[in-house]
Amino acid sequence: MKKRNRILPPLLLGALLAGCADLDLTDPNQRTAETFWQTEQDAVQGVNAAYRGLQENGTYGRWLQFAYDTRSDIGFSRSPWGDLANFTKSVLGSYDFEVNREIWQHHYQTIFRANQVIANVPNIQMNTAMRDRIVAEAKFIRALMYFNLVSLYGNVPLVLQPPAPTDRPNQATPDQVWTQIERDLNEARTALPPSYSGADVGRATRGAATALLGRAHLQQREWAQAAQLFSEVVGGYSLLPNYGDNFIVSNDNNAESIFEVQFGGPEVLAAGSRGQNIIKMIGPCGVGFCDSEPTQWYFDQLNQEKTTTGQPDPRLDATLFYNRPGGMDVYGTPFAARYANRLGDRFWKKYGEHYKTDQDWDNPINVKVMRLGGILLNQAEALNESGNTSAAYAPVNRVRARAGLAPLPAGLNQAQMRDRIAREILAELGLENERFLYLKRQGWLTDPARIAQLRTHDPDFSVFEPHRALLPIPSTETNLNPNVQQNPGW
Amino acid sequence: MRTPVLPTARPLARLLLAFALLLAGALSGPGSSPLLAQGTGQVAGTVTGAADRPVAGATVEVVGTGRRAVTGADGSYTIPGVAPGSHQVRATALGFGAQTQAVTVVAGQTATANFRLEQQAIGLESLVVVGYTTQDRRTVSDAVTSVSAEQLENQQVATVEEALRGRVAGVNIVSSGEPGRESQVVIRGQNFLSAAAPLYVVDGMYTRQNPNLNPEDIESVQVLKDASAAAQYGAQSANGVIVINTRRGRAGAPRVTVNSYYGFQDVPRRIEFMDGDRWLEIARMARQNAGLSVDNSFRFTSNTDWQDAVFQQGAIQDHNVTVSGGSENASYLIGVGRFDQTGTIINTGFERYSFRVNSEARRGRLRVGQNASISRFERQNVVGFPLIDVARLQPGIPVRDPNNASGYGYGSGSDRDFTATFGTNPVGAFEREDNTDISNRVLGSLYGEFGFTDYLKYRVNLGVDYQDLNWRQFIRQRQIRQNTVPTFNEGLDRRDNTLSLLMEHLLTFDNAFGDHALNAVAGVTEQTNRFERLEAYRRGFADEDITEIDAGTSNFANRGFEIPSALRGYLVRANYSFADRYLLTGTFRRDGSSRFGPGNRWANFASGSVGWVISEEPFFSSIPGLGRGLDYLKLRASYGSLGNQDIGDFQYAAAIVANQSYLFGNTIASGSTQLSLANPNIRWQDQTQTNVGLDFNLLDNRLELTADYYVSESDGLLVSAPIPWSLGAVGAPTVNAGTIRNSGFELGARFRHSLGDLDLNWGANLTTIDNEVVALGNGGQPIFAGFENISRTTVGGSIGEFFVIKTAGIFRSEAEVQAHRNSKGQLIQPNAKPGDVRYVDLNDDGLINQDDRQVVGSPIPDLEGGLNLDATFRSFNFGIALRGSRGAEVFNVARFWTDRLDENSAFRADLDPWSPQNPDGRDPRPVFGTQGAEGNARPNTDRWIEDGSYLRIQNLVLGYVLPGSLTRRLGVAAEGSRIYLNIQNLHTFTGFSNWDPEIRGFDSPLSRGIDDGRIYPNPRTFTLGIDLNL
Repeated sequence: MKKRNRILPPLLLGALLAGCADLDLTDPNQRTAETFWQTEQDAVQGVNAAYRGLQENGTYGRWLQFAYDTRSDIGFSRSPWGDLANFTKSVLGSYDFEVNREIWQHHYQTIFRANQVIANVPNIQMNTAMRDRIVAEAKFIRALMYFNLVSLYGNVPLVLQPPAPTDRPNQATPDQVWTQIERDLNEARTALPPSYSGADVGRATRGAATALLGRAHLQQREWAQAAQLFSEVVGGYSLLPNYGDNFIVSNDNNAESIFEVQFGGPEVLAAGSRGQNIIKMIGPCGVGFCDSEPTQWYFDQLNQEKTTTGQPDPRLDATLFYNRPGGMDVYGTPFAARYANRLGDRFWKKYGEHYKTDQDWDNPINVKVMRLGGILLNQAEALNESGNTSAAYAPVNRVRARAGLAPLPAGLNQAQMRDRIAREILAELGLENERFLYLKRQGWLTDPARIAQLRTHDPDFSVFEPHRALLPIPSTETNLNPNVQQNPGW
Repeated sequence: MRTPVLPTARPLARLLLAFALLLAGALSGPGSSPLLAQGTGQVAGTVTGAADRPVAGATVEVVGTGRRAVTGADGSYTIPGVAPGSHQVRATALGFGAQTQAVTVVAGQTATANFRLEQQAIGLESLVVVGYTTQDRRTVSDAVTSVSAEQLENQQVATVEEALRGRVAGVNIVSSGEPGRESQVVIRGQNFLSAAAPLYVVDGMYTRQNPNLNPEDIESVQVLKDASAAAQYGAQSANGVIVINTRRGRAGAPRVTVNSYYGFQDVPRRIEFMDGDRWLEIARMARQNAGLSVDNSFRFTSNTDWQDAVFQQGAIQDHNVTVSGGSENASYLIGVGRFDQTGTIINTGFERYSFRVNSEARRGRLRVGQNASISRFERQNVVGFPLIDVARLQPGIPVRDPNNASGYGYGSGSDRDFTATFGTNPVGAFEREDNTDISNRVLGSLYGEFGFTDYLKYRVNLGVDYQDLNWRQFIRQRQIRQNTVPTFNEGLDRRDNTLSLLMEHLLTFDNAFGDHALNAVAGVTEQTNRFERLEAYRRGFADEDITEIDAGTSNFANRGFEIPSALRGYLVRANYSFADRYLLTGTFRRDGSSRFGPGNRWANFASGSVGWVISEEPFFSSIPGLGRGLDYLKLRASYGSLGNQDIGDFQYAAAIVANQSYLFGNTIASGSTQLSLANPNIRWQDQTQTNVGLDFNLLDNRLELTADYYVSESDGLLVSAPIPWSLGAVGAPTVNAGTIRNSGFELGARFRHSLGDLDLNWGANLTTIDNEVVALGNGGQPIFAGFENISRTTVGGSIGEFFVIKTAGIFRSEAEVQAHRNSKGQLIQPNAKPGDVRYVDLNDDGLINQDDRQVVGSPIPDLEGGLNLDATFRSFNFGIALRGSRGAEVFNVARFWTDRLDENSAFRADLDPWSPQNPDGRDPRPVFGTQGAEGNARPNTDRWIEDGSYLRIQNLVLGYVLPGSLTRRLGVAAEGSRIYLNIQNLHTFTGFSNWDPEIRGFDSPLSRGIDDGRIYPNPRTFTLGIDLNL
C-alpha cells in the first residue's frame, strides 16, 4: 500500500505541529511588582527611585523657581513663550499648561514612588534598622511633596497608598494635608540618622525631617512650634564662611546643607539620573533662555545695604548678573561686552555654572531645599512672630555676619524686626523657593493693600487677584476625578 | 517559567522541517498521474471574449467535482479525469460574467464546451475569496466588498488604500499627503478607543502593519466587513479584515508588462495671509488696546509668506516591469518596481523599490507555491510642525537672515521690530535636521496543498513578515527659534526589527451532491511575533556632514528591548447552499493570546450568516411586478462575535522599571520602581455585529444594488484609559472600559449601459455612520484628549466630540458688556471691552471657566460617499471619481494662531477686527499680551471649529489604447497597451478655511479631527503614464 505514504506524513505532522506556539511568555525586559519588593536590595532600589522623583522638571529639576520665585515679586518673565510668561503672572489659558501640569504630575509621581516603599518595605525580611530608615526616608520625601502641593494648590487629593487604576482620590482640605505632613515627619524624625557617610550622603537626615516639620508649622503660622523645632536643628550645622560657595558644584552637600536634591551633569544621563535645568531656563540670555529675570525692585533690595567694609552685599553678586561697576564676567565674557545694547538688564546667576563658558542643560549643582542660612531666618521669623523679638536677633545677625553686614540695630519692635527679616530673606534666599511662601504665610497675597504694594515691586502683579495665590488644578485632574473641585475663582 | 530568548526559533525550525517532510512524503510516491485514469473522459474547449478574442487565464471547472483548468494564451483548456455522466461546466474570468454549460462526458472521450464570455462591469468577478474559503459571489451571504486589479490599475495610485478610497461603502479611509505615510483605515466605524488598523491578510499571511504593497502586484482586494466574514480571523478581526491576493502567472508564453508614469504634485489650496504693512497696522492696534506704547515709524524690510518657503512642487514617478507565464504544471510571476515621490513640503520624500516572485508548481495531487515580496523604502519625514509655524510667524521675519549665525530668520525678540515670537523657522527646522525612515521588508508565504480527493484537500501555509526599520535622526547645531540657542548637535540611530511567523494547517472540503453544495475548512493557525529595538545616540559631532554614530564624541547613550508575543487559534468554517437558493455559513474560532494573563487567555468567536436567493425560487417569476423587474434578488443576514487584542504586551503585570538612578555622595545609586499601574484582569474585548443586507439586479443585470445595515457593539472595550494624575502613574493602564456602538447603512450601486460604442460603467456608494459610546467603565468618567483637551469621549456621545466653551459673537459696545449678566445679575465678563469675544456662561455661575464647556460638533462624519464613472469609447477610456463627506467638524489650530491676536503670529488676509472706527468688524479686537489667555485667545472655544464637509474630485483619468498598427510598428506584440493622463484631487468643494479638510489625526481616535499642524495636505497630482504589454 505504497500510495498511503503520501497521505499519512502530512496528517501526522499536522497533528504533531499543532500547539507549539507558547502563549505563556514572560517580559524579557523587566521584573514585575510580583517578584519585586523581596530583598533589602529591592528596598534600597525602591527608595532610591523615590529620590529620583525629586529630579523631575516639576519637582526640583526645572519649574519650581517659576512657581515660587518668578511668580513672586522678585522675578518676572518676558519669555517669547507667551504661556510661560503668563504663568509667572499667575495667568493660565490652559490649566494643563506644561509647567502647571508637570508640577502636579511629577509631585504625584514621586508620591507614588514613596508610597510603594512605605507600603511594601515593612513586609521585607531584612535588617530592621535599615528597613525603618528606608521607610522613614520615603515618608520624608512624601511630606516634602505634599508641602509643595499644599502650598501651591491648597486643596489637593491626599494619596497615601499605591493606588488601583480605578481609584479617584478625595480632595483633602489644607488642614488635612498639613496634618499628614506632620505625621509623616514626626515618624521619619525618630527613625532617620543624624548624618550619613560615603555613598549615602544626600539621604534625608533627622535634621532634614525636623527642619521641614518646622517649616510646615511656620507655613501654618504655628510660630512657637516652629521656633522650637528650628532650635533643635540649627546646632547641627554651620554656615560656610563665603555665601557664594553654597552654589558651586564642588560644595554640594556642605556643612551648611540640611537637605539637597542631588543632580549630576550630562555624564549621569545614561545611568538614568539627570541634572537640573533651572539655570538653562532662566539664566542669562544667550547662555540660558532668560525665561525669568529679576525685577528692578529686587535688584534694588539687594543693592541697598553695604558691608561693614563698604562693599556691596556679597549675596548680590552671588545671586545676580548685572552691569557691575568694576566689571562682572558672565560665563567668561564681561557683562558690558555680552550685553552692550541692554546694559540695564539683569539676570539670574545663582545655581549657574558661571565659572564655565557655557551652561549645559544638565547642571550638576544640587538644589538646596533647606540650608542653615535659610533655616536661621525661618527661626528668627518664628521667634519674632511668637512675640520673642529679642531672641530673633541672634539668628538674623548670624546670617548677616556671614555676609559681612553689621548686626541689626538694637531696639527693633516686632514690626520693624519683621521688615528686617523679610529683607534678609530676600537677600539670602533668592531663587531658593522662599519668597512666595513668605508672602503667603505673611498674608500678603490676600490683603489688597499688600497686593497694591506688590504691584509697585513687580508690574506682573497688575492682574493679580487673591484667588491666584493658589494655582489652578490641572483640567485633566478635574476632568477625570469627580472628587476634585477646581480651586475657587479659576 | 521563563521563555527562551528567541521564542520563534523553535517553531520556525519545526515549520521548515515539517514542510520538507511534507514535500518528501508527497513526492515519494510513484510519479503516476491520475489525469487519464481509466473509466473517465475529459472536457475541452476554448474560452473567448469580445470579437472572439481568446481569454487567457480563465478558470473552467466541472461543477461539484473540484476538477478545473486554466486557459492558455490561445484560450483553450482541457479538463481530464472527469467521471462519465452529465455535468455542469462553468467558466469564469476576471472582468467577465461567468457562464455555465451542460455537457455529457463519455468514458475515454472528449466532450467539447466552448464559452463566449460577456465583458462585465468592473469588480463583478464571480469567485470571491472570503478569507479561508472561495465562493461564488451569488452564494455569499456575508458582507464582503471586492476590488479588482483593473480598478487599482485605472487609478494609478501609490497605495492600496488610495485605490479603495470612496469606492467601498462602509470603509472610511483618511490619507495624509505625506509621501509614504500610510492611510488610516476604519471599517464600519470606530470600534475602539485606540488607533487600530484592520488586519491585512496578504496571500494568507497575517500582518497588522500596513503591507505597503506595490499596487501593480495586486490581483484582488476583499474587504470583509461583517462578523460572519471576519470571524474566521478571530483574535485580530474586530477592526475588519482586508484580504489581498497578489498576481500570479497564467498559463502561456511569457507576458511582459511595463507600467510607468510620471507626474507632478502641488498643494491645491493656500491660506491667504496678511501682508507686512497691513499686519503692522493690526499689531499696533493690538498694542494700543493693551495700553502699551506704540512705535509708528517702524517699517518691515521683508514681506514673507511662510507658505512659499515651506511648500514646493512635488514630483511623482512609478515604474514597474512584470514578467509572468506558466504551463499546465507551473506558473511564475516576477515583478520589479520603483516608486519615487518628492513631497509638496520641502525636504520630504519617499522612495520604494520592490521585487516580487510568485510561483506555483503542480504535480499530481500536489500543489506547491510561494509568494514573496521584498521591498525597501526610504522616507524623508516631516520635521516639527511646519504648518503651525507658517501661521505662527509674522511676515516681517525673513526666511534667511544673514545677521543670525545660523543664517535663518527668527526675529530679534524685541518689541521694537514686532518680532517676539516662539515660532520656529520651519525652513531651518527642515534644513538642520535629517529625519529618515529606511525599511527593508520581506513579506511572503509558502504553501503546499495536497488533494486526497477532488473535494478534500490539505494545505499548509507558512508565512513570514520580517521588517527591519531604521530611523535616523541628525540635528545640526543651528539656531532656528528665538532665545533657543542649541549647544550641541546630536545623532540618533534606531533599529527596529519585527519578525512575525505564521503556520497554518487547513483541511478543506468542497463538493456538491445534487442540490446540496458544501464548502468547508477546518484548521489550526499559529503566529509568533517578536519586536526588537536597539538604538544609539550621541552628541559632539565635529563635522556635521559626518553623521554616523561613531563620529559622535559625547553623551553616549543606547537602549534596547524585545517584545515577544504569540497567538494560537483553531477554526472551522462551512458554507452550505441548497439549490443555489438557501445559503448558510457558520464559523467558529477559538483563540489564545499571550497578551492576556493566564486566566483570561482564551476566547471563542462564533458567527453565522444566512442568505436566500429569492430570484432562484420557481415562484419568483410569477410574482407580479417583481418577477419580471428583478433579475436577481438575495437577502442576507449575519450575526457574530469578533476579537480584539490590540493592547501592549505584558500589560497584565506591573513592570518594575530599572534605570531610575539617583546620586548619593556623588556616585550613581541605581533605583527601580513601578511607574505605571497594571490591570491584571484585562480580558478579550467582545465585539458583536449584526448585519442585514440585500443584493438585487435590475435591467438585465445591468443595474446592481447592494444595501446593508449593520449594528456593531464592542463590549469590554480595551482602552488605555486616562486616569487622574493624582494617582501618580505614568501613562494609562489598559482596562476593559466600556461599550461602543456603531451602526449605519451602506448602499452600493453599479450601472452599466452602452450607447453605441460608448460603454458606461457607473458606480456609487453611500455610507451613514452613527457612533455612540454606550458605557465607559472606570467610573464612567469622560476621557479627554487632544489639543487643549478639547476632545471628549463620554457616555451618550460619540467618540472624541469637541467639548469647548461656546461664543456668542463680540461685544459691540460697553452697553453690551454690561448687559452680559447671569440670572443673578452678576457681570459675566467684567474685564471685557467692546470688541472682545462674548462667551456663553453655560452653568450661569457668572464666571467663564472650564465648567462652561459643551459639545460643539464631532469629527465623525454623518455621511460619506463616492460616485464614479468609467467610460470607454472605442480606444478611449475616461474615468472620474468623486468622493465626499458630510457632517464632520474640524478644529482648526492654524486658525487659532492666525486669529488669537495677542501674539506676533501671522494674520489672515481677510481679518476684520472690531475697532471704534470699524464697529461692524467681524473679528474681535486685537489685544497684545496677557489678557489674551483669558480673553479673546482662549484655545478651547468654538471659534476654531469649522465644518469639515467636502466634495472632492478624487480622480480623473483619460486613456487611449494604442492601436495594433502602431504597437506592431513599435515591436510590441500584444494588445492592450495604452497611455493615459491622470489627475488626482483636482478640486475640493468645501467651506473649510485651511489647506485640507481631510484631517488624519495622528493620535488616538480620541482626538480625531484636529488640524494640529501635523497634517500634510493631500496634494493635487497630475500624471502621464503608459502601460505596455510586450
